[in-house]
Amino acid sequence: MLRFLLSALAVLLPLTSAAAAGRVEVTDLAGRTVSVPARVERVILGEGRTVPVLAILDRDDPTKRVVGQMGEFQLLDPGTFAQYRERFPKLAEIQPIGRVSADSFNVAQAIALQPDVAIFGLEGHGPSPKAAEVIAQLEAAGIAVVFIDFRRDPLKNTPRSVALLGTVLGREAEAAEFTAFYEAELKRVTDRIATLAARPSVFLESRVGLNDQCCETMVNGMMGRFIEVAGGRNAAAGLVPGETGTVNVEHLLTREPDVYIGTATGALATMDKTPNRIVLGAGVTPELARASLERSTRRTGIAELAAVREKRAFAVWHHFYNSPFNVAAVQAFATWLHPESFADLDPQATLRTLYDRFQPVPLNGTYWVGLK
Amino acid sequence: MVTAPPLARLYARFVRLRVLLLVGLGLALVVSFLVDIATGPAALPLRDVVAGLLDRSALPRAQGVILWDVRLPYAAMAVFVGAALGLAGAEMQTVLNNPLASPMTLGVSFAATFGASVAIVLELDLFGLGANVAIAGSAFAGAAGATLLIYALSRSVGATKDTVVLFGIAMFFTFNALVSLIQFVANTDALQQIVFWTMGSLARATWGKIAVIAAVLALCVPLSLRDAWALTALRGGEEQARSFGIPVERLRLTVLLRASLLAAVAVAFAGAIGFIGLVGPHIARLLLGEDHRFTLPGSALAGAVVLSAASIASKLLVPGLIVPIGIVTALVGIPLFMALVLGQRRAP
Amino acid sequence: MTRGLSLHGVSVGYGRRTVLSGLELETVPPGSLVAVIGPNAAGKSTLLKAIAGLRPASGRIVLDGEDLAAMAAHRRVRLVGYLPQVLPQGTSLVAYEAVLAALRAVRGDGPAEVAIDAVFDQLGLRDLALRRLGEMSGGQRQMVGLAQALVRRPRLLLLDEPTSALDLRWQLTVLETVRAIAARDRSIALLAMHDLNLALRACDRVVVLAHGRLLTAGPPEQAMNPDVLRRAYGIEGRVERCSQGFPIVLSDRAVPRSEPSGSATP
Repeated sequence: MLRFLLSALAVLLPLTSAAAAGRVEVTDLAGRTVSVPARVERVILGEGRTVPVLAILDRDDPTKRVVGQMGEFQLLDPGTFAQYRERFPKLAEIQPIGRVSADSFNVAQAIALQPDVAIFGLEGHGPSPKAAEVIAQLEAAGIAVVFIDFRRDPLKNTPRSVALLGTVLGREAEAAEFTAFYEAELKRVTDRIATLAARPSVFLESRVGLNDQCCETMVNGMMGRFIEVAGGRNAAAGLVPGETGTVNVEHLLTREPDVYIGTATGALATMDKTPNRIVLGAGVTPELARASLERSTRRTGIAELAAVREKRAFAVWHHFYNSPFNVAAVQAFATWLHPESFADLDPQATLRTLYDRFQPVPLNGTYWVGLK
Repeated sequence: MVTAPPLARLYARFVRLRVLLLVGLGLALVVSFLVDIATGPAALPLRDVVAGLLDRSALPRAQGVILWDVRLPYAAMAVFVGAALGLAGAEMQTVLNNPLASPMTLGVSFAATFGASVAIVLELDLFGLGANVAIAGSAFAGAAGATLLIYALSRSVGATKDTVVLFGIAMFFTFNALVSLIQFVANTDALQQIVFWTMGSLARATWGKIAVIAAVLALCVPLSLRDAWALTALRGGEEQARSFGIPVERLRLTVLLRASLLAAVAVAFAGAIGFIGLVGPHIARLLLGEDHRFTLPGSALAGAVVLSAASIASKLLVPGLIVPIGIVTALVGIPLFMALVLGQRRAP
Repeated sequence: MTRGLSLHGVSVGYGRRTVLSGLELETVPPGSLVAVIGPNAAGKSTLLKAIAGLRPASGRIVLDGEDLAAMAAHRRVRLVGYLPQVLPQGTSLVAYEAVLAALRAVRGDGPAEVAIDAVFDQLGLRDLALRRLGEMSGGQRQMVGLAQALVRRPRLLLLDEPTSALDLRWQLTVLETVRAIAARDRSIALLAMHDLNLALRACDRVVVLAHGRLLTAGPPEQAMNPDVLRRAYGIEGRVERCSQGFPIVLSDRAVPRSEPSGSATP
């Protein structure tokens, strides 16, 4: 009898502990297999700008699980930050665990907050998979580390990242709703592009007005990828080997691009201090945006471009490079590159739907603009 | 009986050779400048370049912009910044009796970079003239501040050449560390800008900035030439110079201030570009000896030639991209410097 | 006006420390070579620098009737030539340029070519005129330094240890040259020297400095004797005559510290 009881216990005990432990295995965007708790209540963010992503899943309060975050959100995207802070004052009180670079990440602080999961990006302003010691230390402290990505390969990794977060946070339904909408909207572009032959050349100038040197661009990553998908040819392809680089303005003048797109890093709150930047984002009116675009196209070299003189010049909100709403920007690109073919496509409506359905704050501002 | 030619005539011939070499340097500069204008991703044949220089409307619109608004300012900036750094380096090396003295090694360049970094991070805007003016002004303040600090410290302790060099080294490391600190706390935008400054860049050239540097050069070159004989005498030995009645301490401080003005203006507009102030004077000395009537203008010309050549290289090294000029001068300057040093050792 | 050099109550100090005090020297006639000798740190260099105006001094330093100490710097520089202890440097500097710089450094001097030509001839430096200093021997560089000091034909030539860094042949050459020039120009040469015997042999007069005071001055036979040796140098020695009649100092032993080895006043 005793022997029977003992062997029964020996079989049953592991089962009960497994059920009590309740962990889920996921594969993150870095290809790592990670075991995360079934119930995740405390998370830390490798980039503060992940909060709007969490809002897709925790619409009532995206900050409710966040116990620590890196500090770049307010510095780099003050417009959206202000919108979120107004709605969720707690956002400003979340414990900072670093500033704007991986070097400033404070491991001790992070561990002290006792999070269940750390959500980092494959690259960007927080720890990346290369920060091996940081990852090891967090995991040794029992914190699961998962990597998402919206910038290295945005169009492919956005649905994967949102789905991953849905699994981790136990919000699979919300995640699935989003990825369905995303993929459908993206398909509206990719399907029609397959039928088009002509590919106009596009020059994408990154962070216009940051310094007076022209011309930084994105090629094999970030928004550089949108050009190809939207049916264009990146004018800097072949010149820049990596994700970003600076191209000699002479190149632009000799091989005139058909379309010019500049990215806007100016924000309403800081535009007086940075008059050379294009202003887009929360709270910005189309007139203000257009005026700033016009001013930026008066620069030496840029002003002479046929694309500018013939008003085929546009500006797009810079932070689409790292946002799950990048599909709206892709649609905008498509309407600029192939206006007739996409005359029936309304990227503004797409963006509004994204905000209405998946964000706790309203769409309030201009996120792209053209010279016309 | 044949009388030996008077010494004066021998010397006159000697001087003529020097003058020819100086003219030669000037020609080299002109050639380099033309090649610089003719180089770039846009293939502009030399014929078109010359035609466009003479008459802008002779070129199609885009070409005209490339030549006049992109390449010409860039090339002119290289010439003037190189001249300023070369002259500054020559004066520093003579007055401190140290062949390694230069705006970079005495910390003046980094003090200027620090000033610029502060302006960038704090997003300064002086008198509403915009960030550019604020950054340039701040860089200038940094360089001038460092020089005055060295000046004040030297006066209290005594302006021997060793103390000044030691202070300069301390400045170099201090400001280097401060710039790194600022980089650490800066956000990405500011960081990117600061990095451009520390690597040096001619791409910010505007005609306004070129006018300022040219004006400063026009002011400093005659002043330097006025001190030319005193500096030549100094090269013969500090004690000797003193015995001729030269006020060595006062000369040292005046020259250092002038050199720092030149360095500050160069850094304020082009960032921290190293090795020009080091290598230019060495080339001048190899060609022209120690007579500062030739070595001073020669250093300015040599500095201009080297930076002009570096500007050409920065456009050719990686097709399509402009490599920051500070990187090119380092890559080219170091082996060049080694060659100079080793060559001198082998010369009889 | 008495031609010649004389010192009256000359004192020289570094900050609060007095190196030389109350020096009195009777007029030295033009054409003389005067050796300033004494132990290390006696103030030989300091005295020369003071006369050259490179160190502030109190008292009167009278040359051809004028007080050098009260004279404006640019005038003094024309009357007094100074050869420092350190040999001329400047590896790429050419001899002609070095001397030209000496002339040009102080503005407003007469035709340079004539003066330089003359001094190069005088010193036999013609062949070295366009040679670089870095390629010259120590003795040759010293001659260039001499040319720098002489190019303005000074009335008073001050040489600080002109022979200490040279080998024998050059020592003789330099001293012979200086004598010839002093004779030709009727100028006075003051040489601070370390080598006692060379000083006694080459010069018309010696001035002995010790412990910040002028111990004795006069022709070598008179000024140098065992008593001076003991008081100035702290040694027991003899002054004998060589086969050619020049005085030679031979040191025998050091004076033990307890014995008074020198007093303040001569």
